[in-house]
Amino acid sequence: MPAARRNEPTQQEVFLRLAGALVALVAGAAAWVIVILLLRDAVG
Amino acid sequence: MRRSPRGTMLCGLAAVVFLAAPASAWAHAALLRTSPSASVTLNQPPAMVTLTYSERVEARFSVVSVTDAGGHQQATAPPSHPPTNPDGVAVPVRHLPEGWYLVFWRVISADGHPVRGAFTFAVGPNPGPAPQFVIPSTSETAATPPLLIARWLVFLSLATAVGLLVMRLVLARSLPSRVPGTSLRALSGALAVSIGVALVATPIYAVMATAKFALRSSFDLGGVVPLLRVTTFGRGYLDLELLLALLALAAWLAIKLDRPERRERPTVAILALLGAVATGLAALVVPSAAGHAAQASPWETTVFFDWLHLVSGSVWVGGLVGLVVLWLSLPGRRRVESLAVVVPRFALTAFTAVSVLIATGIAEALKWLPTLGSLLDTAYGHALDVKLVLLAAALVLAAGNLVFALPRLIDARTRPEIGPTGATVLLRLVAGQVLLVVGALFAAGVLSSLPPPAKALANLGAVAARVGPGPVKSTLESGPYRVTVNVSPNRAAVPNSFSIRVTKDGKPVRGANVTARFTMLDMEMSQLAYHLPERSPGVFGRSAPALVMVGRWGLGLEIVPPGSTPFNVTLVDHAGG
Repeated sequence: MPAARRNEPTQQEVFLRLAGALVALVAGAAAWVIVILLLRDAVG
Repeated sequence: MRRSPRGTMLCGLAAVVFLAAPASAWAHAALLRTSPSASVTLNQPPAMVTLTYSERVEARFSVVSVTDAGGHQQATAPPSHPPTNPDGVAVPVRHLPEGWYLVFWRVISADGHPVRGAFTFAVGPNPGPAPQFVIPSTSETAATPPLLIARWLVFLSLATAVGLLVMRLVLARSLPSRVPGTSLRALSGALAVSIGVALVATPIYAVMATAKFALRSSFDLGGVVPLLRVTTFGRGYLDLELLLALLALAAWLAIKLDRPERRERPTVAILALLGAVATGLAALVVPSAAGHAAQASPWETTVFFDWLHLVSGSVWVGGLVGLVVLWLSLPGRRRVESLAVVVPRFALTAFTAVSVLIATGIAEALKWLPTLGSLLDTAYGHALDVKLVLLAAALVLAAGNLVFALPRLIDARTRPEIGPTGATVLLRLVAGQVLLVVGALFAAGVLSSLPPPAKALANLGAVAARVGPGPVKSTLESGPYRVTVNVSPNRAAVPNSFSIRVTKDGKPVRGANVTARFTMLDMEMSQLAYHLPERSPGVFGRSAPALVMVGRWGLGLEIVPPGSTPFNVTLVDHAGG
């Protein structure tokens, strides 16, 4: 295998990294949903 | 290029160092009106006793007792919200015969802080003389040392976590690619520790606070935990725990997916960074949403400014902690070079954050402080003063860094011998700032547990004397007049004897018209006014249950001497319990 390709991620790694990024994004979105529900409840 | 922004920063710092930057100010539920009114004599017995507050209170934790002169309970059911009045609590009472009644109440504000008070009313037409009621203590505070420490730990760890996240993923991110042999592992570790502390401190604080306002032991978990979801405050801090868990997950992913040794940030790392920062920013909404900012009007702007205040404070304090961690973790030979990369970026960010902190702080101070004098006169003002002094001192140290340390770190590229001095000074000044800002956060915790001064202070005018607690005998001069004020026993919720002696050139002033106005200064209440008839030449007075609550009262005397110009004398009286 050429040296340049040795460090390239496998397809599985690419998929896992993408999944990780999506999970982080979903966590961010979920956090704001929680906060909006809390605010809606607080201002009643 | 570098000189110019530094000069601008210095000018800015010098200009803002004197300005105010208070914490998020949380008011408390204030009693607005009662039915029956305080001190009134009714001709018909009431079916209900209703208390209306300035904001929603939790009926489930409210205590409203109505007792007669013999101490017998007259309320027939626990308090509940009247159907058309969510800001009120009401209790039904049995058919009340003629006589005097004491209403004692204790409610929990939306932020979990207890407020209590008492007042009397009578059922006539002939209720007889007012008895000496024995009233429970009407002073209670959420500012107990254990609660303050727990709240401070929550604020500190949350703010540090968000600031460290920004430091690790944005400000210091490029360090390993610019300075070979360096790593951001220590920053990631500090971030993990701060999120961990927040994850532990938040439920402990929520349980302690809920136990306090439910009058239970903190160890009675079986009783306290179910109550957590009943209040906005409890729900808010449970949600914060969930948000912290999400923050831990998103931050871990963002760090894991990042390749700081490469200058270019991978797309997945950018997406994960957005997720982590969004989670951190969301978590900082909770103290505003679970506190009084959400109860203020208009709540949107109050919550937004409160949140902005917390975000800017977090970026500052977390960044400072990050600098200390970075300094200590960097290998000695790489330290100056590394700091020359990170510190200028942090300085610019910190300057922006501090500017926003001060601007939002001023906006909040204008909203909550009725007068400039309340900075000196009130416990709330004192806590704010401490916070201001600590922040001003921290800004002086920050200016020292900009003037002394930063130029040496940057110039060390051409003159390596001055670098270590700059790095040493930087560490000392940054460590000093961390201590001061951590202290300011504690002052903010105290501040948020005290009620802001009542708006009535703004209308009080010049105060001639401060008197009480305990019986009052005070002599004041007003132009040619000498006014001697007696209040006895100067206790709340019982009839007090008010006596005013007015003389001019040593002779009693006869036939004057004297009115005493009572204004509660510690919370919003309607003003009470009594006419004081002349009892003997130049002596005006009566007995009245005018001081319906423990705390500070503005006692305004309007004196109209016959044929002469009226004049006013104002005292601040502290009525004891």
